[in-house]
Formats: sequence, structure tokens, C-alpha cells
Amino acid sequence: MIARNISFLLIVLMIVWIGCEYTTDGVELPYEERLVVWGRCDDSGADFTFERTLRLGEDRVEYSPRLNDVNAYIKHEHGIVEVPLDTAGGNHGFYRSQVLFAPGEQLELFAEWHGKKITAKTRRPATPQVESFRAYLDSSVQPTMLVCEGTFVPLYDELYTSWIDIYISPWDTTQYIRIPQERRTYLRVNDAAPDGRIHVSERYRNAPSLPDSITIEVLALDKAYYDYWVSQGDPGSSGFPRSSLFSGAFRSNVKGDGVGVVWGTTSNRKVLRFH
Amino acid sequence: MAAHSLLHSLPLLCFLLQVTTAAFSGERGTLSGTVSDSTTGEALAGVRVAFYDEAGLVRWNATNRFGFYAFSDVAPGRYTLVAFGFRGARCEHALITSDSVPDVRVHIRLSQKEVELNEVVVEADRAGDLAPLAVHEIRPELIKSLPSIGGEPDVFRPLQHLPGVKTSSELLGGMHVRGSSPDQNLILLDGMPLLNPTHFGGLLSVFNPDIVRSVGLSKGVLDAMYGGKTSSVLTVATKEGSRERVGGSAGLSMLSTRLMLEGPLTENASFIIAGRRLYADLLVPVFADAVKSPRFYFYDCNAKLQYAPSGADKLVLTAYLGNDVLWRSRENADVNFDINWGNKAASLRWLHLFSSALFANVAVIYSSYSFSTRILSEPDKGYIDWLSNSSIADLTVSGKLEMQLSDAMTLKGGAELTRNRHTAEAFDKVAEVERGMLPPSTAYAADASLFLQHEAKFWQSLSTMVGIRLNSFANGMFGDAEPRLAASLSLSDDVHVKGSWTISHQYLHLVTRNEISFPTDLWLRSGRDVEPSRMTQSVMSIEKSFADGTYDVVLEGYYKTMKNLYAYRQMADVVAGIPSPDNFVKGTGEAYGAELLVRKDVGRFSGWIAYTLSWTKRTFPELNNGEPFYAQYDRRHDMSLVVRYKASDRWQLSGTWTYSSGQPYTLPAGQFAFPSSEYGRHYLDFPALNDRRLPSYHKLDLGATYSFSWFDMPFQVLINIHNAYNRHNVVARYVSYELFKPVLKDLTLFPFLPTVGISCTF
Repeated sequence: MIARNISFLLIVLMIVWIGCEYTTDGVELPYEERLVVWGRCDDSGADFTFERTLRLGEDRVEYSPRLNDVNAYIKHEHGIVEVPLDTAGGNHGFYRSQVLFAPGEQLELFAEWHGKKITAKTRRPATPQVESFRAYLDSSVQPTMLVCEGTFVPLYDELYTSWIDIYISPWDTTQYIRIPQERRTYLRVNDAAPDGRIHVSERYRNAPSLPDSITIEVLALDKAYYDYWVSQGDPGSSGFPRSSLFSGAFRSNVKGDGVGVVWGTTSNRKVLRFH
Repeated sequence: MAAHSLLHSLPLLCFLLQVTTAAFSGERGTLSGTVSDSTTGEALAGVRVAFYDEAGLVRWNATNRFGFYAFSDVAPGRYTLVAFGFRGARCEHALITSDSVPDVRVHIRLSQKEVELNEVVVEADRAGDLAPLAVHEIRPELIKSLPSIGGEPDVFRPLQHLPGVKTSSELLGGMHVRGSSPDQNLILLDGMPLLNPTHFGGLLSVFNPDIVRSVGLSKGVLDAMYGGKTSSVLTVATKEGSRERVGGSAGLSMLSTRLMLEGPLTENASFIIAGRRLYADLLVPVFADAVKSPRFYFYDCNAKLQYAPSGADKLVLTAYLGNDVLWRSRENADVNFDINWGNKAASLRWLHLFSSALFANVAVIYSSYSFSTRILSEPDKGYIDWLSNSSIADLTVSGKLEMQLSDAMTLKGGAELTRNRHTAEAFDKVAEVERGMLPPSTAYAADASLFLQHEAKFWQSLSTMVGIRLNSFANGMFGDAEPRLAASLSLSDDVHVKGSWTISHQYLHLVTRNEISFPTDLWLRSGRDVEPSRMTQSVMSIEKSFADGTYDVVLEGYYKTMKNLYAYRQMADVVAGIPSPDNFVKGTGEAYGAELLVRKDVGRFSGWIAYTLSWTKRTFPELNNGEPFYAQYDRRHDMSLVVRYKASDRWQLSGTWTYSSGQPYTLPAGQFAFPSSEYGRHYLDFPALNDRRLPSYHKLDLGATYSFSWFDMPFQVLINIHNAYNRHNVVARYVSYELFKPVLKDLTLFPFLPTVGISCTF
């Protein structure tokens, strides 16, 4: 990030010394209305949320960009079925299909809205297998620390993330603690230890005793999900808005007149009960 | 064109000769020697040498880069040996009489004083040239006479007006040759590769104009002697230093000041040394706060020592040091920084004539590029917030042999061994005292190359070149063969058709952000996860002379494919140190186009018109949804007009006008948010990469040179008007936010800018 800022510094100095910046006359801010979709396919089926893009600088009024008149279809091994608007979602552009996709199966989305068409492909990864999971109190440090350690075997070209939920009743009023609270660490086969396993280790400080239960949940994700979130980065971090000097586009598995991401996911969990 | 007519079409310029011996007996022998400048004693490359008998021309040839020429299998007889310099001057003859000595060596000393009036400005690949290797040669006189920025003549300016050569802008001025990126150009200063050929992000090249003797640009890597880059070869040869007297030159422009000294050391040795420095930083205290204001300067130094103990041996020691420095005073209590980058290069070269038909060139070359950054936010505590150093260095041993099998056939071969060191270190919040305790990460690799090239002429109308280069890179991890084929056919005396087909590989990749080169860009070596780039280029051209060679017209078409190009991943994490392949994506490229050059080299009025119609595309599976997109330097139309007019002995006028289609760029076409986005946060929607075009670019630059003498010292005043009609050429367009409201901004660089510079020789 610092190296990027050095580039920025050099550019700024050059511009200050010899450049001239001015507001462009006679050229409108570009706007191309496009579809935005984010979809997820898991054990319970596939759901999608559709929006439209807004003009640059346009205020977003809660659900105003959501689209309720999208023609959406998914293709699975038995054919193509329509994905209906989920009215239980309050007509907020939420669409749900009850068609179930097994791990390893591919889903293809087709959507059309006012002549704009998009497609997206995703695949539900193989279900991750939690090989081992244990938890113990480490009283060698003060205050006592709860240590949770798990392992699972990653498959080639799959992407994983995991979290550990601690369910407790006696400690305080908190029902459960998820560590890490918001995880953006994604693990791949490259992250495996020499024994071919990914080792997850988390510590929870100030644990007086073992909780009621501890759950480790491992999610496998379509890599498109990772690519999308990694590529979006922080639009302001380069100093310049991304444009001529720092242009870019998201890596998205959505093709056509839209942007977003559709991803398949599977999960597995293992629970340790202490009381 | 047949050699005879070629020679007669050339207005003879210069002159001859010191005949050391003159003799041929009944045994057939060789005639060889060197051609040098009579004023400075420097070897002259590319000079035509011919010999005649009573019936007329017998044969002709040209001197190589080291001023050497040779004719083999010469029958005994009486001959006249003639060296032809540049157009517009006379040539004298010397007689060679037969004797019992079969091998004769003749050292020719040419006078170039008369060249100045009507010299050839773009010498090579001319219509009269049968050579299959097309090289644009630029002479220093042209460099110094064309309009420049700040009154500072620059090597890159005339090159940028050649067909097929483009720049991103007048500032971000790396050369894009036929749709390639700047890092794909092999830049050689006296045979030493330079990774960063520009100062200040491209404002000026690193080549001091006072020390440059000749510049050659080949828009392809055709000669098997060259490798490691895929797009073009730029060779800059510096002067060797006068062997006649101590002298020099000095110059002062609105950007920099420079000084050059040269002279003989002994009868057989000479030196030249030159330095240049940007002085803008010295003026900062006059106009701004000296402590708070950031300052920038660059400098470069050249030195050359040559020693010729005999007519058959020459030793040349060459050195270059250049640096750009951006800094803020350590007295500043806020944040201060010290950022510098530059090249270092040195070589020791031995040239040896084993015989008149066998020439050797052995060299040891060191070349490095380094970039370092130091940022301190609390200077008084002695802690560095950020420290990074990276350098890439090559130590090369090369040996090349050139064997003249006959007048019509030459065989070249050689080998290169390179030891590469890539060092990187980056520390965050490190106490300066601890710095020495943390070793940098360093990677070593050994590279090797072999090449063999055969050049032949048949029936004075067909010329061929067949070469092969074999590369072993990264300790043998990669092995590549590069065939180089070229041919030239004369359809008549003034019409030639040329064709070439080459494959070249590149093992060092400059990964830039959006095709704009900055010193912070990373050099990425091919290795386990980074494959070598590969380029295949096919070129066809037809050349014709008109009006007895007054006008030359060259029409060329090319098609290039590129594999294994590397670019940053979208929003990759940029970290210092040896770059991780995870941050880059791999793709392919394609470039094709047609180039037209109409040139007039003789007379008071000279110049050329260059037009290029071209397409340059890139395809990266992980960028732009895998769809092909135009590279940032894609220009559909590109045109340059270069004129020079010798108004009088004192005044020379020049002008350049360029036009090119707008460059592609990317703008967001909207915004959106996600359900899980932070409150109020939106993301920009970029439907495609480089799907828009900036307004077309055009600019007129004017220059005038006034020559006069003062105390018997010749002076030149250079007056330049940059952007004469004040065109606001947009180099970037982007969205900016003013009070949370998006507005579209344009960035332009130099407006109407008159400048002046002065130089003198002594």
C-alpha cells in the first residue's frame, strides 16, 4: 500500500509542477444502467438479489435500486426453471429457488431486465470435511485462555473460510461468540501445512471455564466469490478514483450487462459439547 | 538497388585516407581497415567503403559498429579505395598499387566538417539500402536541432516521430514500439543495458545529448546478437573522445545544466567525461519553503576511456551513473522522505582484429537499476516508518566474433553469460540503528545465450540474414530458441522489398499499473510461476526512391503476437520486496498495423512525414471478464511531420507536428452497493477496460537555433516553443468528488511554453 502511495506521490508532484487539472467541459458523467446481482447457492437452494446501478453521486434511498420485475432462470441438470420473486422478502428484489444443488453441481443463472441480460455460472464446492477439532483451557497464561484447534483437508482449487462459535450459558448474557468476528481470510490448498491439512487455531482470552459447546464451521466457496471481493478493494485507497490513471474492473463471474457475483457454497461443522 | 548505382546516387561527402600499405600480388588477399573521424579520431560506424579499378566499382561494404570494414578475396591490381560519409560533400580517392603483400590494411580518416550543412537525418533503412536489417539511425545534429522541452535536446524526441513509435504523453514518455510496452525495448548504452532509460517519469531520456555519437532504433529484435527483450533494440553509442585536442562543450537549459570534456591522454588513448544535473531543486528555497517543500533533481554522469595500443586492438572502458532523487528536508518536523532511483553501468570492452576477416569483441558488463525509499514521520526519534530498497543487477561476460567469409558473406557468432542478482528489502517502523541487522532477500540466477548469424548477398539484388539465438535462463529453468530471418530483394535500382520473421523472448517483465511506467513499478523475473514472454513478429516492407534519391518512401506492414504478458491483478496488494507472482495475471497480446514514411534528407529543407495505422489489443482471462481490450497506448491513427530548414549559416529552423487518435481509458459507468456493504459505501461499476477514448492529441512544436562565435568559441542558442497553439491535450480523464458531488476532471500537461537554452563548444 505504501508503494502505491509513493506512486501517487510522484504523480501528484508531477501534476503540481507541470500539470493542469480542470473540470471537463461538455462531457457528461457517464452512466450506463446495468443489473447488479448477488446470488448464493447452498443447502437450502439458490437465492438472488437484483438491483440496478445508480448514477455516480446519486443518493441511494434504501431499497430504491432493488428490482422486482427481473425475469430470472436457473439451469440445472434437469433443465431450466424460473426463479420467482420472493414476496416474503418484502418485494425488495429478493428471488429464491427451491431447486437444490448437490455439492459439485453447477448452477447457471440467466436474467433479463428491460432488455439487459446477464448470465453467471457457479458451482457448489465439495463439502469440506472437518477432520479434527479440540478445545482446552490453557492455564499457563493468565488469565486462562480457551484454545480451539481444528484441521481439515483442502481440495485443489477450492476456497475455504472458517469460524468458530462458542456457545456459553454461565459466563454472562452473551449467547455465543464467533471468532473471528468478521473473517476475510480465505484459505486455499496453498495454505496447507506440509501434512496436507489446513490447521485452524483460535484463542479466546479470559475464559474461566469451558463453555457449553463450541462449534467449528468450515465453508467452502466458489473461487468467484473470493475473486470478486478481493478485486473490489477500496476505491479510495489509491488516492485517485479509479479511472484513467488507476482504472480497473471487478473480477466477476457475471457476464453481460451487469455486475455482481453468484457463488456456490457448502459447509460442514463439528460440535464439541462440554456440559 | 545495385551497389554501383547506390554509390553514385549518394552525394559523396567525405574523404580519405592514410594508406598504410598498398599491395597485391598474384595471390588473392584481403583489404581491411577502419574508418575514423579526422577531427576527433573516433571510429565511424555505417560508413560505405568501396574500391574501384579502372573499369569502375569492384565492390562495396559498410563499416561495423566499431568502424571496421573488410573485403576478402581481392585480386591483385590497382585500385582506388573510397569512403563515403554523408551526402553533400566531395570524396577523394587514393590509389592502391599491387605488390607482393596479399593482405592490406587501410585506416581511413574522414572529415565530417562539411556534413553539417546537409547531413542525412535518418540514415538507415533508406531506399537505397539492400541491408535486410532496418535500423533508423538518428544523428546528434538532428537531436539538437529539433524542438525540445525546456531547451534540453533529447534523444527520445526524434525517435517519437518515427512511424510505429508512440509515447503515452509528453511526460509519461516511455517508447511504445509497434504496440509493445516500454519494458519490451532493449536499451543499450555502448552495449550496456539500461532498465530505466528516462528521468522524471519520462520527461527526458538518460542520455546526455553532448556525449551521444549515434542512435539506432530497430523496431524488432532481429539481429541475433540481441536478446532478452521482445519489441525493439535502441542502441546509443557515445563519443570516444577526441584524439586530437582537449576540448569540450557546455550547455544550460531551463531544466538542466551540462558539461562535457574530452581529449587525448596519450597518442593512443583518449577520454571523454560528461555530467548533467537538473537544477530545479536549487531554486526551491527562492520560491518556496525550503524545509517543507519536496524537491526533485536528477543527474547523470558518463565517462569513457579508450586505448588503442595497435591497429588491431582497442580497449574501451565505459561507465554511466544516473540517479533521480525526490526528497524533503530532514529538518522538516512532519514527514520527510528520501526516494531515489537510477541506473549504474560499466563495461570493459576489448576489440581485436585477428585478421582482416576475423574480428572479435569481448566485454565484461555490469548494469544495475535500483530504487529505494525512506520515509520518516518522526525524524527526531530516528525511526523509519518505511524503508525499502530493491535492485536488480546483471554481470555479463560476452564474446562475439565476426568473420567475413567473403565479400558477400559474413558469419557472426557469440556467447553471453550473465549472473543476475535481485535484491529487495522492506521494513516498516524499523529503527535506523537496527537496519544493518536485517538481511535483505536476495535471489541469484545464471543466464546464458548463444547466437549465430549468417548474412549474405546474392547477385547484388538479394540480401539475406539467417540467425538463431539460444537462451538458457534462470539456471536453466527455461531454454528457448529464437530464429531470426530477414531478406531484402531489389526489384529495380530504386525499389526494394524486405521481409522478416522473428521470435524473441523476454525474461524480465516490468509490471506496470495501466501501462504507465513509474520508478515504483516492479521488475518481475521469469521463474517457477512466471513464464517468459514470447513475441513473434512478421514484417513486410517496400521502399522506393524518387527524384534521384531526394525522396524516399517506405511502406511497412507488421503483425505481432505476444504470449505471457503480465499485469497487476485487479487491486492486488502492492508490497515492496521481490514481487510475488500471486499479484499478477498472465495474458496475451496482438498488434498489427501499417506504417508510411516519406523522407527528404538532402538540401536546405529536409524532414519526414510518418503515418501509422495500428491496432494493439490485450487479452487477460482475469481482466475485463476475459474479453480483449485495447492497450492504453493503442492509437488508430498516428502522424508526425518533422521539418528542418537551414535558413543561413547562423539560423536553422525546425518544427514538429504530431497527431494521434485519442488513447483508450476507463471510466466508471455507475455505482452500486451490496447488502453487506458498510453503510453508505458504494462501489464503482466499470463495465469494461479502456472502452472510451480521450480526445485526439495534436501539438505543434517550433524550434530555432542561432549559431555565433564569441572569443572564438562557437555558441548555439536554442529557442523552443512547445505546444505553439496551446492545445489542451488531455492525458487523463477521471472522476473526482467535490463536496461529495462527482465531477469529471481532465488532466493536461504542458501548455504553450517558450523556452531557451544555450550551448557552446571549446
